[in-house]
Amino acid sequence: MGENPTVRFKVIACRVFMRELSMLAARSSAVLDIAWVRQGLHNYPSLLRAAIQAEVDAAEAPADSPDAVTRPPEEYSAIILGFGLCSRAISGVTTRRLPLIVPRCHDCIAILLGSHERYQREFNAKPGTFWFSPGWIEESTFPVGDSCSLIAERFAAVYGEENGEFLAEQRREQMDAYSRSAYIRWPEVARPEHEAFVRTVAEEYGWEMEVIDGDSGLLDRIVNGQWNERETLVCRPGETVDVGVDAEYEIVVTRAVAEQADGE
Amino acid sequence: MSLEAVSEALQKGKAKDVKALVQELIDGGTPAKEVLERGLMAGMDVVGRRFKANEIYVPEVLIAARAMTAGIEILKPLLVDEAVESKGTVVIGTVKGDLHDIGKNLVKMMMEGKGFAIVDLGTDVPAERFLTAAQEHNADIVCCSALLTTTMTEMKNVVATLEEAGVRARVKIMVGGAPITQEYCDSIGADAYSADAASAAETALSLVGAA
Repeated sequence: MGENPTVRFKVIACRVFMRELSMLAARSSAVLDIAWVRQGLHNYPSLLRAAIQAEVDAAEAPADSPDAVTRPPEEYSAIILGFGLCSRAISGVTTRRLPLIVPRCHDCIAILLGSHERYQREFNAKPGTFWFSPGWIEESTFPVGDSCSLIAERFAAVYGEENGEFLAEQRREQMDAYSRSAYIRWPEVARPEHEAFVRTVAEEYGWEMEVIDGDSGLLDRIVNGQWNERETLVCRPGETVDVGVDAEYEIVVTRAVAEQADGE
Repeated sequence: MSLEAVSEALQKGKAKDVKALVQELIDGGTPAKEVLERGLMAGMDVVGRRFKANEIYVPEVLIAARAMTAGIEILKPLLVDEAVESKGTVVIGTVKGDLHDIGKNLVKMMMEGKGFAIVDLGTDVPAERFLTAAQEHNADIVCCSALLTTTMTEMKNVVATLEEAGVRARVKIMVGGAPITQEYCDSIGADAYSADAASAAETALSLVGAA
């Protein structure tokens, strides 16, 4: 009796969701305690896996100051991942004490579009799409306009003058394969300067430009405890997230059998 | 000047140094093949493995590859003179829907270094193009690369397309890329998976019986 009724979730999420997830957290009936992980680590899946696991471990660690005033981490009901497969980075993540909730989708684009299926349709229709969202605009550098020389300077500082220009050029060249710039717009957090930025990119590269309305439903359900088998995997404590192959040879998030405890 | 110095300069992405060091070794009488294998490729081997282990980042791979290209430019005419025999023909590409080619280019570089003739189909390659290129060039190996979990399923289509055309028995299929695993390779019926560029080249040699 008298127990604080607010449900608390630990959310470990990519910074790419900063605006969208912050908006959902503010509106949620639950307390969403968000740990942000640097955007872009999908390119180095073992680093991303380690970063996620470190946050899981921190969330499960006992409170360092059990002063009985602040609520201890033991009160989390679950740990929720704000990641998709992300180059398999989530494979191997494990919890000891809390359930772990994992979205069943490829990456942030599916989450922002609101479903795995919608992303598949978009992807199959136009694979040459470079996707933008507030996080992709604010958390990463894109080689357009003045930022090209900034990118070259940053590269030069680390890899030497001889390589700075070359690497900046490479970043631009990698974009040659794309033909569409798509801005995923959530009306709740839309900012005109984001759309303008994506339009500038499209113009500079001669790409088609499209504004696609995102859908907050999927992320909202995931971070608010409305989990269903189709959209989310719920790992029990002690289980490990695994990635397998389904009947269509598509890789999917699967639950691994819990490892047997020592001595069993 | 040593072969190790070439390898180290390559790993640091110092193209000018690599060029100078390679030239010095050649002027000093070291055979071009030895400079290639024990200098350039030894360095790239380290780069590929460290990249796979996420110990180094994409830019470091790109500048190492650039340094390797600079070294090879000097060696190329000499290697022709030394008449290195071809180990076979490899058709390589990034699968349909996938526009990433850094890993594929590394594999291509290492296979070329091992003496394979390479037909590079680029990125976003449909299964049918792998098939027609394999037929046209009488390929020994088809190599499929994918970076995305959304596109890796296309590899199964490549296997199926080669099977349907009746050429599967004559061609080995290799797969690779960040999300690919041995388990995935087995599940789609490909012949070999390689974790990094250097081991891909080694695997290719063993597939054609030249290891």
